[in-house]
Formats: sequence, structure tokens, C-alpha cells
Amino acid sequence: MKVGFRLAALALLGFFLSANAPAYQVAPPSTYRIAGTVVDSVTGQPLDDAEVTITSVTTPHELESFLTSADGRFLFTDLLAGKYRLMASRRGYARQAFHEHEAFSTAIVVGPGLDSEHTRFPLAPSSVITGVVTDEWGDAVRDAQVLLFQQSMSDGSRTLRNVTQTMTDDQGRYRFAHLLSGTYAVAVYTRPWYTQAQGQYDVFTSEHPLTISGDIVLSSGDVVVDHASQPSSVTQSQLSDVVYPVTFFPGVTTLAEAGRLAVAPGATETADFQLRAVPSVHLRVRVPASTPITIMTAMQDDRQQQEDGRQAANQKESSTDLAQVDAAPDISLTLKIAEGYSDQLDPVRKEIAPGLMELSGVPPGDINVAAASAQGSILDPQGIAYASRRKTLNVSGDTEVDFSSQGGSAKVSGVVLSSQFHLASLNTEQPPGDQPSTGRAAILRAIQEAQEARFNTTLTFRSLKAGDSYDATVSPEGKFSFPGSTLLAGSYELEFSPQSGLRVSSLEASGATVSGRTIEIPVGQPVKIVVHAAEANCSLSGFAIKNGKPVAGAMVLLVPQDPGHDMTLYHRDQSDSDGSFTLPSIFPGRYILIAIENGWDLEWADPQIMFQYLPAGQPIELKPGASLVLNAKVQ
Amino acid sequence: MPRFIPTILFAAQFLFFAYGTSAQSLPLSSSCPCTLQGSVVDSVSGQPVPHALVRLAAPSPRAALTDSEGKFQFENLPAGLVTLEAEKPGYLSRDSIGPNLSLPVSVQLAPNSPPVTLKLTPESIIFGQVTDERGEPLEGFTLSIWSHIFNTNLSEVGMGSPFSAHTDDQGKFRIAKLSPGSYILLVNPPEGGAQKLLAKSSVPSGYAPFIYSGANDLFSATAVRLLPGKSQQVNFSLKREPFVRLSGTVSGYNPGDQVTLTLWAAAGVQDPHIVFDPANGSFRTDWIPPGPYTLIAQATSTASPEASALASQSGLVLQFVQARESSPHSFASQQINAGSSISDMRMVLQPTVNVPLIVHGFPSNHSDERPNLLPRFFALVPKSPGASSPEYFPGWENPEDTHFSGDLRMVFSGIPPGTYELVIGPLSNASVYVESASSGSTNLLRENLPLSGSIPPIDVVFRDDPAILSGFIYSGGTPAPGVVVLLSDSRSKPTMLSTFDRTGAFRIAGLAPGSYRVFATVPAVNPDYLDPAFWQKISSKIQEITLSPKQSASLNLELATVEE
Repeated sequence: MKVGFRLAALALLGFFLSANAPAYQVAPPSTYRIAGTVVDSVTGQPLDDAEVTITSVTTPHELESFLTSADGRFLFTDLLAGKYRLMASRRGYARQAFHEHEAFSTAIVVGPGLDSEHTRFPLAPSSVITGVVTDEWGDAVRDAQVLLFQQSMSDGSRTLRNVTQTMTDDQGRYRFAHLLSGTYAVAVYTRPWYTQAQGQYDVFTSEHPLTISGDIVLSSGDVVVDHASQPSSVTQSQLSDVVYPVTFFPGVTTLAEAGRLAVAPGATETADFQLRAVPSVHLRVRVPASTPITIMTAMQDDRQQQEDGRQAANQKESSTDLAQVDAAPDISLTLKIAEGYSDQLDPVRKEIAPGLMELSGVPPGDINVAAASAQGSILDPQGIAYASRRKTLNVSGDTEVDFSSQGGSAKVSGVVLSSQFHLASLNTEQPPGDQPSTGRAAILRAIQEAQEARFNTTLTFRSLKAGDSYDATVSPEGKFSFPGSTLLAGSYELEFSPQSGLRVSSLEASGATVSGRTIEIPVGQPVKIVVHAAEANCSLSGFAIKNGKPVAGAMVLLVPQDPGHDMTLYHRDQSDSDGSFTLPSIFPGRYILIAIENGWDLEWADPQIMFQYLPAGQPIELKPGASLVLNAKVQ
Repeated sequence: MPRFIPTILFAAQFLFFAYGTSAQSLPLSSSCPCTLQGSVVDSVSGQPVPHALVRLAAPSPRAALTDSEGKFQFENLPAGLVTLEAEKPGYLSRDSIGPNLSLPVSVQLAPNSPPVTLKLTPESIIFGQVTDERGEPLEGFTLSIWSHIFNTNLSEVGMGSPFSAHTDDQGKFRIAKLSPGSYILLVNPPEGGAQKLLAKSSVPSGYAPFIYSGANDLFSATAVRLLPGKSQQVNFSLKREPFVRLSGTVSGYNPGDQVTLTLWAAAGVQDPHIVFDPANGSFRTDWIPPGPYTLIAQATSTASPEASALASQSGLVLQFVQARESSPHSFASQQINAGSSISDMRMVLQPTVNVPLIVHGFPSNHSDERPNLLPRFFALVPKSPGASSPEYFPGWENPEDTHFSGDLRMVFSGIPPGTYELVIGPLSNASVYVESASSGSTNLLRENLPLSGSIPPIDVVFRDDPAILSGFIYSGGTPAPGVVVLLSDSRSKPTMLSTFDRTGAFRIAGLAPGSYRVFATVPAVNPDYLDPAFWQKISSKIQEITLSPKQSASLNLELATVEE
């Protein structure tokens, strides 16, 4: 069973208790019990004073929570037939679900003929990773962001994923408690305190030299490294313009080099850091000529707005006007710290020439540069087209990124065919011109609000040769376009954002050549694309069976016959106490269903490893909308 | 919290940074560019502070880090006024809690100027551990520090909590960035008191909020005194207790009335769910920790029962809440020390009182500006022993009347009988002052107002002929910033002004004519101004002055300091 409602369950507890009573009852239904013992997973000793909580899987609200008795026993009574998720926590033991693996656990099923009263709940002692972060002078670094990565199999291979984060205290100390045993990596990411302090202060002008006295040690670049007692002068930019690179334990700057901390159950590991400042990277981004947005705007100044509502309403009607606003592409930077974990940067921005932005205060590392632009009318937010171009590059020194559309821009628009969009357009309402205001900032804010309010689906055009990607936002009607001339000619593979629940099944285009999910876009001529989208509307359920008996806690895996690189096509579940499993939201297609006992450490994305399991698997085909019931043979 | 008003604390902090640049002007030397040398030292240990950031605000922004001996230098500076400020984590700064004692320094730079010494005051720290009765750590408990907050009239306006921390898996907590001063510590269990059940239908047990060192409420708690740069350890041992439930009946309301039940805990507002059945008047609370509570029931004939309570809880209400229509017509309050569940509470609602408030003496012309002359608020603050009920604010007697002509007429509506203090908020305009405030023969500038049945209206009289007092503060012959305090026999509350001007200059306008005792002291988080022992210590620094209407008097004050 997949875990997904841990927080919602707590929040809704009160609601559930009051809404619990059924509207009518013909006869009292049969009730069942869940009983068992909580034991230490290492020693097997019963654990008293552990808090055991049950949640109904069908109505994910926390039901009840009891402490175990001196002999480790717990008992829940008066339960209706159904599936229940069990959680337990105790001091010294992390809060964990019954037989928890990654996001999965084994639900307890109660009903006629099922034994739910002999549950042995092994609780793993929790471990701790702690340490101290200091700077080059040995002073504590406070309020630094500390990131914890845990090695997991969630993508089918051993990858380090960010699981939590914390901040250092005034002594530079951090502490991750309640960890399950496993393999971890730790990273620290912060800015030198003296550059933050200057940030709150006035902007320093570069014509004034700044003095760095004494023994500031900067580890690389052309900054003065001076251990002499005589103070020396460097330009101001060098004191305010240093950064700490993302630093992984033990003092390396990439996740690949990061040390793996093998943490045993109940153990405390220490990972200390000493940060060293380096000169910040300056990124120069060439942006295309600004794209005009047609804006319907109320021509009022701030004073008029402060007057009483009736008057302001009159003003709004009388003085709206159509204006063209130059919305230069909005450049944003994210620092990719690990796969699936990025941090939005807040660089210092300066336009050093028309169409040339300089962004400084950027740490070295994998930087994703995105330029967003928009086109449309602010009074018709649904009709505004958004697109962005992005590129990920590894920067170690000053770098220039060319986002100007030199050399062949294309005019691309299209429509996504999917039932989602038709429905979405009926449900959206937009009060236009709610907050009449002027100025570029207000307009950008209005655009942003409209963008957030709309359906969150983007269509990505991934360049097959350059490391470029272009994102177009799909409107509720399913339309998309690239404003102005943001998209360059070239070959692209199309895919939807993972959270959209959509997958490109086929393409049609006028003015361009298509092949499968790729499209070759020529220079100049208008291209119209029709994207046929498949929805994840299939499901599969059944029992994991071995020798005619159901198996609890088995890994049930649905392997696509043509996986490509799309991990979203794989589906997994953990079989519950009666052996049952459920795989919802599957894209139509051909798959192989397998079930593996003790399979939770397998690198299932590796064909070499899966090779031995696939022949015993069961091939299935899921037509759009299909709900299959099928048992899986446990290997 | 009923009297939670953090705004003032932060406003005071801001003022610290508006440092003056009105230093005496020296003849400018033409022989610069000059070099400014200096060092940064720890104000407590006297030791140099290495790697501190020194910022030059004037003549143009520049910055440097001190070397390993705490030294810094700026070259190529023009002669004239230079303002310097030092900063380093671990020392008080603008984001510290309480006054920033690491103030900027201004110097006149000339050739061969002597080196400048900047002092950084080390921060104070509170740390410790929260455990249960077996010594096992308690995780996820919130530790908040509270301090008394005084408004500019030096009346205590409440307790503010500028900072809190959570205990970790070892039950440990740390709060840094604190200014020296007195703090009250409150430990709150996680939401719901960390209730735990042994089995179905058993009584849940959990933890009650705990005020160091076992006080019943924040105002009677023992403060922890923090010295600059010192770390103070405070440990808590809490006991899990069976929770209790309060139930009973409410009577004395009319059919169709909206009845609201509120439970106040001594350690702050509790918001347990209370089930009330208007058909038979029965009520029952959720499970709550045992301890002292005040249960309040009020009946309102309209459908907006919470308005009055909400308005009162929101702290400094800057406008006159139009609370009349929604104010309760009847009220009952009961203090309970709930050691175990109580099932027979009887809440008999009694009629509330309406008290008119008439403001006299405003200039009759310029009616548009008159609201701007009003104080920020009027409030009736309960003074009955053990009262932890909210403050009450007046509404306009006639909400439609916005002409402000003649006397201003307001009304405190739906006030439960009891003893109250009339608090008049700070005036936003120094051209008027409060000459008197009375109800019948009760002088409300000195005495509390007993409220029961029908009482005479409250008359507040403003006058527009205030006196001005100005002068300089010195400390050992050197100008210094400080707090000027004026006390008058005709008023129970002192008048206070904080100055952050390093020239020591102060100017207090809007003073009521009369005789005052005046002194200057250093800013502090929790001043002991209300403590007789404090008066004893500074008696030699107190001066007396009599101000006549529209007089501009001047006075130089010697800074009174009270060392530990």
C-alpha cells in the first residue's frame, strides 16, 4: 500500500471524529479487531509506551492512537471490515509505518476469515546524524541550510534523494534525528554572513575600494590572499561577491564525490563541515528583444486608489486604456544540488547593456537558467501565452549564456487533445481587472497570479542536440504557443510535466516533420502542432500469490515493455496483509506484472537485474480506461 | 495571549538605528585624504574581535573585515563626519532581540585622528532541556521567552514573546541573539498537550503549559536575568497528568441569543473546543490539562458574537472598534482551579454595563483633522484580582456621525462588572495633552474605575497648551543616549522618551503643565522603573521641575545606571 496522507490524516482527525456517525443503519455491522505487539526490530524485545495509530485507507483520517502496555501490546476494537494503515512511534524510534519501505507499507486488512490479531510490529531504533559547520576561521556558521540525502531505490536505482533539511544553530550545530538506518549524504548551503549583512545595507558602489584586512583566506581566484598583518586593499566587489559552494561531507562540492554515511540502527554519526568562500560566478545572459504584451490597464495613480471604493470603481471604468508593455524575459536561476533537489537563487541582477543581463552572487555548480516570457492581455489571463527557455550548465567561472534568438526563430503554436482541458475550461472563472494598477511590476504580478491560478500543465520541447529546453504553458482550453520568437528552429522531443498526469502518445503538425514524439521545426514558417495526449486512467489490482497463498509485504512491480527513459511508466505497490495490491493511474500500454518477495533492495531499473524476474512475469495490455483485476505470482 | 503586544518592542528597536548625525561641526581640514584606523573589541571581555564586519555609513558606504587582532583601516577618506558600525554573529546587532547595545559611532576625521574603538556587546543565550518526571527528554515542546513591554507612557501594556524555540529529540533547546535583561520562560507542549491514551474510553493524559518557575501566570512569574555575553541554563522537568473536562450549564440567555463560551488559561489563551447546546444550556469542553482557568460565557442578541472578543485580543487596536452592536448584553465569568473534571459548573449570565466616554476640549474648527489628534486608543483594562479577560475598546456612540463636531461621544459597550483601568493610548500629535480623565469623582489618571450597575460617564479633557522640556543627557561628562522619565504626583503613569541621539539631546513636547521628577537612564528590555528599589538606587540623579502652560524648559540630566 502506498503512503500518502500522513499529514492530512493528522489535520483531519477532528473532522473525522465529528463526521463519523453513519446516516442510518439497518443492523449493527460486524466489527473486527487489530491487535499485536510492538517489538524492537534489532533485539526483538517488546516495546512499552509506544504510540500506535491506525488510519483507514479508504477514508484517510487518523482514527485512534493508543500507547502499548508494558508487554508491548496494542489493541484496536470495533473496526469495520476494510484496510487500515498502522503507524508507530516511540522515543528513540522513528515514527514508521508497518513494514515501511520507501513510500510503501503493509496495510492490515480486517474482515471475515482474516487474522488481524497477531500483528508483530518491528520498530527500528532511530539514528542521528549531527555535526558542526564552521567557516575558514573556525567561527560557527549559524543559520546555514543543511540538507540530508538518503540513498533510496525510488527510481529503481541507488540514488541519493533529499529527504529533509534543517538549519544550524548559533553554535553552527545541526542535528537530524529520527532517521531510519541506511546510507546518507549531508550537504551545507549558505552564504557568508558578511555578504548577507551587506545585502541588508546600502548597495556598495564599485568605484569605492574596500579594504580586507589581515588574514581573510579565499580559496581560489584572483582575490588577495594575505596572511600578513599589514592590511591590504582589494576592490569592494571581492568582499561582497564571494560565495560558499554547496559543500557535501567531507568537504567536496558535488554529490557524486560526497561521502556516504552508513548509519546503523540507533547509531549517531558525525559530519562536520568547514566552509571556504570562493569568488561568486558572474553569469551573463543575452536575452531576446523584449516581447510586447498587450495590457489592458487602468490608468490610475496610487493616490486615486487610496480614495474610497465607490470613487475608485468609477475611475476604473472611465480610464481603462490599452497599453503595450515591454515585458523583457524574466531570468531566474536555480541551483541543482542533487537529482530532484534544486534551490531557487536570488542573484544580484544588473543590465550591463541592452539585452545583456549580468547575474552575480551565483555559486559554482549546476545552474539552471530559465527565461520566461508572456504574451496576451491582462484582462484575459486565460488567453496569455507563457513560455520559457531553459538551459542547465555546470559553471565554475564567469559564463555567458545566449538566449537571444539569433539564427532562426520559429513560430510555433498548437493544441493538446485531451478530455482534461475541455473540462478545465468550464470550471475556471477569472474576475478581470480586480486590482487596477499600473507599472511593470504590477503587471508582472498580475500575470504571475493568473499563471498560478491556471491549470498547471506545461509542455516541454527538449532540444535533441543543444542542452536547451523550452516550456510552454498549456491553457485550460489546451492551447499553447511560444510568444514572439522564443523558440529556435531545430529537433525537439515533446513531453508533459510529470505532475500533469499526461503523456504524449502521438503528434501531428503542419509546417513541420514529426516522427513519434519528436518534431523537426524549420526556420520562419508557422508551425501548428496537434498533440494527442494519453491520460493515466488505467488501474490494476489483485493479490500477490505464492504457492496458492497470499503474500504480505511483497514488492509488486509493473514494468513497461517499452520503458525508454520514462520512470513514470513504472508502477509499484507493497502487498497488504491479505496479499492485495492496487496500482492506480497507469498510462495505457503494454506491461509486465511481477511480484518479488524481499525485493525492496533490487535496482529494478537495471535491465540486467530485472532480467531474471521478467520471464516469470505476466504480460498485460491496458487499453485506455481499463481496470484489470489480476493476481501476481510472487518470485 | 490576552495582552500580547509585540509591536512596541520592534518599534523601539527601529528607533535605535535612526542614529543622529547632529554632531558638533568642526572646521574641515583640507589636508585629507586621511586614513581611519581602529579596532573592534568585546564590550564585556575587552578582547579584540577578529573577522568582524566594519561598515562605514558616511561619507560613502564601505566595509572591511577586521584582522586577527580585531584591527581595521579605511584609506582615502575625506575629512569630516564618519559613521562606523561593527557587526559579527554572536554579538548584538539589529536583528537581535531587545535593544541593540552595539550602537554606531560617529567620529570627526582629521589628519592624525586617533584610532577608533568600536565595542560589540556579546549576545546572551538561554539554553536547557525539557524532560519528563523520569528524566526522559520531551521533544517538540515550544519554549518561548517573554518580556514586559512598556509603552511610551511607561505603563506596562503587556507581555511580548519575541522568540521561541522547539526542543529537539534530546529535549534540548537554545535561544541566542538575546539582549541582556529579564525574561520569563514558558514551556508549551505540542498542540493538544501531547495527549496520550492507554486504551479506548480511558482518560487521556498530557502536559500543561509551564511557566518558569512554576508561576500561575506570566505576570507573576520569576524572570530569568541574562547578563551580556552569558549563557544561562534553565532545565524543566514536566509531569504527565490526567486531563480534565469541564461541563455544566449556562442560564440567563434569551431564545435566539448567540452564546459564546471562552476558556482562558492562566498561561495564555486556550482554545479548546466547547460543545454548547442552546436548547438546554449544557456545555462540555474538550480534554484540557488540569490547572487554573477562567471560563467566560456571554450572550449576544445579534449574529456576530465573536466581534468583541476578537477585537480585544488583537492587541493594539489603532482605530475605535465599532463594537457596539455585537457587544454582549449579558456575561458570566468563573475562575476554576480544575484539579479534576468538573461536571456541575453553573454559569448564570448577568447584564453587562455600557459606559459612555466623552472627549472634551478639542478645537472646534478643523473638524477634518480632529481624528488625527485623538490618541491611538482608549481601553478599559480589567484590574480585578486574577482577571485574565480581555481589554475593552469603545465604539462611536453614533457610528453614522463622522463630523467630529463638539465633544466626541463614544461608548464602552457590554462591559462585565468589575474594576478597570482606563488606558489612553499614545497621542499622535504633541499639540494636545490629557488634562484630566474622570468618572464622577474618580480621577482616572490615578485610580481604577469600579464598574457596576450604572455609573457616571467617563470624561476625558484635552488641552492645547502643553509645555516642552528639552536638554542633554550626560554620562560622566560625555553626551550619551538614554531614556528620559518624568513622574508627576497627579498621574500614576510616568512619561517616557527614548533618545538614540549620541549627542544626548532630547526634546519632549506635549507635556501637561505641572510638577515633575525627572531622570535619565539606560534602555533595557525590562526596566525596573516600577520597582521602589530602583528609585532608591538613582535618587541622587533625580531632578525636580515645574512646567507652566506653553513653557519651553530645558534641563541637563546625568545618566542613572544601575549596575548588577
